[in-house]
Amino acid sequence: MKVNWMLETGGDPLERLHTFLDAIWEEAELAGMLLPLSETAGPELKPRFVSERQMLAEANPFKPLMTENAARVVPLLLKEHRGERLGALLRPCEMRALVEMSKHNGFRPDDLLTISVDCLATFPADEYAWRADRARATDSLTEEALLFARQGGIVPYRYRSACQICLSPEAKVADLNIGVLGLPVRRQLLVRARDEAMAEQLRLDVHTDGEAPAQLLAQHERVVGKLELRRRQARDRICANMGSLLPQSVDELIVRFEACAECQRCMEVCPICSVDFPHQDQRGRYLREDLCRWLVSCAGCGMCEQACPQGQPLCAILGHVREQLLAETEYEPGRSPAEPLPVGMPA
Amino acid sequence: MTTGPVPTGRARLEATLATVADALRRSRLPARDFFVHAVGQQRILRDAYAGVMHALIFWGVTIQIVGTALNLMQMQLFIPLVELPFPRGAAYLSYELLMDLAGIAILAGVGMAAFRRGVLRPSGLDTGPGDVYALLLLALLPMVGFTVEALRLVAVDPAWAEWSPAGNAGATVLRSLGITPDLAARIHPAFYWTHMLLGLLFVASIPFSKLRHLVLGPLNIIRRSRRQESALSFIEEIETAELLGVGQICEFAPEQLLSFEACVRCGRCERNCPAALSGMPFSPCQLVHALRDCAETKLLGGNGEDQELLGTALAEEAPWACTTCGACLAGCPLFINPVDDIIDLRRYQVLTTGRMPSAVGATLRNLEQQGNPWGMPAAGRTAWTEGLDVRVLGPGEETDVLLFPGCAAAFDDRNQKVIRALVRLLKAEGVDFAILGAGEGCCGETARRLGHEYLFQVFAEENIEMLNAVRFQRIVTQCPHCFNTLKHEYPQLGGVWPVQHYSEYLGEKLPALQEGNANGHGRVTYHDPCYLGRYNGQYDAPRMLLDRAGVEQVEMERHGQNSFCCGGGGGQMWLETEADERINLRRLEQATAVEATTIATACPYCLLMFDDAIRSQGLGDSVTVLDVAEILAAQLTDEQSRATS
Repeated sequence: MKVNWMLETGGDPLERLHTFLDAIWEEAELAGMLLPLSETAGPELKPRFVSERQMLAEANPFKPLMTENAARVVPLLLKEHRGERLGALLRPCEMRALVEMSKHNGFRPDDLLTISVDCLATFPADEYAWRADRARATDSLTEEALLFARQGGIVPYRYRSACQICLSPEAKVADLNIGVLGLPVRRQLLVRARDEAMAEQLRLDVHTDGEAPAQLLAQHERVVGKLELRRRQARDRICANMGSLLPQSVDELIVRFEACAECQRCMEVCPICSVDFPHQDQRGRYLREDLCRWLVSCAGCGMCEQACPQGQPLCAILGHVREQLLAETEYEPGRSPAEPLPVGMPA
Repeated sequence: MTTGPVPTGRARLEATLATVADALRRSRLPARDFFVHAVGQQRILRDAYAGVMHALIFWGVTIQIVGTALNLMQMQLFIPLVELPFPRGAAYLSYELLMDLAGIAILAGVGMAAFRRGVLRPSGLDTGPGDVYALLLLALLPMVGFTVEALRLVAVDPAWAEWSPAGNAGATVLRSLGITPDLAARIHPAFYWTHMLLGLLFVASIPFSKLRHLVLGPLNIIRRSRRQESALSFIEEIETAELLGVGQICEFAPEQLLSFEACVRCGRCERNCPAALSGMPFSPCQLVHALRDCAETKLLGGNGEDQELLGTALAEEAPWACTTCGACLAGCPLFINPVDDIIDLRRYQVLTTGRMPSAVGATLRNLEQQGNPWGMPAAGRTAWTEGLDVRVLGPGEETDVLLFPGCAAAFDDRNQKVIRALVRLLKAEGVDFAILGAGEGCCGETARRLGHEYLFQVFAEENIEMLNAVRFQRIVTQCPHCFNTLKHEYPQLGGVWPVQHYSEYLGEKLPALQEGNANGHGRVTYHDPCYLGRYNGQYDAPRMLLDRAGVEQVEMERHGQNSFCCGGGGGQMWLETEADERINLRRLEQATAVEATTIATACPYCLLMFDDAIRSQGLGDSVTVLDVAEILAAQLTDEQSRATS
């Protein structure tokens, strides 16, 4: 069976996504799903596990807000529901984090059906709060985000800095990937299965509105390509502007972390650290090996930067050091669960 | 499908006539432009020297081309296709005379051009190899032509030789040099073929040299956008357009690419650009030229990876020096519009890459967050009305004049005095007016000119909704920027009402206005705000109001259409400028040069820019800046003032 399919949205992409997820839930006989639940229009979007299908109506993967990385809760969830088939609706950076976490902790998310949605970028929480305050309609920020899916999002300066420099906003490594970037979302969305077997298993020919037209796929790819190019330029620019403040190696970073003393806020919110927390030696210096293992898995979700009391541009810093580390390898964090980490596994 | 009656012959004729009439109607403006600006070259004639120079060359070359065509016909090259009898008798003599005069005109024009480029050297006019080539070709053609004619006259010596004055003079010289008729006849072919080759070279050079403006100039003049110059282009269906603004050269509209090619680098824009004249690293001429070079490189290089313009062909800060004052486009003989190009570049930066000066981001954030560029709490919009008893119009209510104070009047201390003065004037006149109060939002001008088209559209839609909910006869604004946006840009979103700037409105009420004798202001010079003057042609009303107030008026050298921006437009008010590149300091110098003690203006941005310049120069004791409304309100008698409070 083909892997690329399409949903006709009839003017309401969120509603169509809900009905599609509902059908997939039934088809895959899920016992429950991890969903980004938007119960208010305010700056709240909690990843929550629900076992009632009607709760799907509260899920909003388009809400331009991210306050925690949902992948962090997956290991515990799998443990609690051993033997059951679960689903998870994740942002691309959450999906990448999940793939990396499995390599650190050794858990196998085999029973998890992962669904990922193209990211239209997110606002910092405080900025989201005043925007929601000013907006007249209750969910106008989600609407605004969807409005500009065609261009891959506009007005980039408003987004979280992690989103401004994110090189892979496209959903592509989950079992099911929902495409919105570059698309006329009030008419169509893309649904792309990981492989033919997955498309077969979930009977996408039944649950979607037909095969994706080549023109739609091409449009999606063109806009994603442009977006990645622009984000790359933004990242280069930010790094260039930091000048000597930008650590050029892990060793420089270790020295930098000494100034942070006991503060570990960045690591406390990091999905990778949730399964593999870096250790310090007696003098309080982080072990080089541990930091390397952390950094090569960085999914770029930017939760660290949001948590940093010093307001350090951690996303650009860690991203830059990661690129130095991976320069000699072909490794790309989150690309595939089959790729082993390019450095030693935890002891 | 319904089938109507078969059209009769008469109906078909009428339909055809209607189509033709429609085409004629649509081509009326381009045709007018063609005759006034391409053939008549009205804008070049504004500068007497350059006007005469260009006219001599243009008419000389035109006559020569037509004459040469006639001559070629006479050779019967095109027979049997076209047979045109070559002039005989008196017509021939006039032909000879006219052709000689045309040649002399070209030489005179080229001489003037060489003098201008070599000796006068106006700023902004660079002379490159291309300019030398064009002038050399234009000089050689008639010089060799006259030599050919002189040789012919020596060889044949016709009785009517004096009808070719230049050729005849040449013949006299040749004879005195000892050239015999026989020798002349023998060397004539060599000069004749040189002349022919030069002529062919001239034609062949058109696409490859600045001579291309012979074709592209008129083409650009008739193909230019018919949009009101002060209204920026509207991005229709902003959510489905894949491109917002321009990031790469190929993303410019065909009309814009044509305009880059048409530019001959005459430098008029640069000589009028306040940013360039104040020493900022920016010039509209160089911008257009860089874009042209980029387009040509791209065209010759074939399809490859496209590069972003900023950081390669243009400097990163290139789009951010412009005040959108329009001085460049008002002077361009070829109607090239660098402001449109700059706004397209800004749109891409703001909406697509987010790469822009931090001050731009901060201003846009203020606009988004508080709905005004000052970033003041939105709730304070009506604070200025305290103690004035200004009626706030609720939904469905009615008034004669809807006063639109704008963000400056609402949030800036200095401009609050102006709006209060204006309100006192309106009350003294007994005008029935009201404001929207908290329902009024920023008109969106600043956001739009900084490139944030989406925010502009959101603001405009909100205001249009509010304005449609109340009833009024006209909108009167304090700020020329609000005025221009409401009048010319809101119609793009369906908001159409009569809109006036207060100076125009008060000007209409002039007879009722107290005649004053305000000699407390000394010499008053009026500074034309760009969006009132140049963009909307309103130069007289504010001056009439000042006359009425009885002040002594003096004009700065640059005034009216030729006025010089205060430096605050196009979002520049919010950007940081190097101390030695500030436009407002230049403008203040121009005001003090005519020994003005009061600068009058009618725009909140101009007011603040002058205020800032006066303070930074420590001239507070010798010059003040006032709004026209303040000068008028000072004329109100105590009784009138009391009546209003």
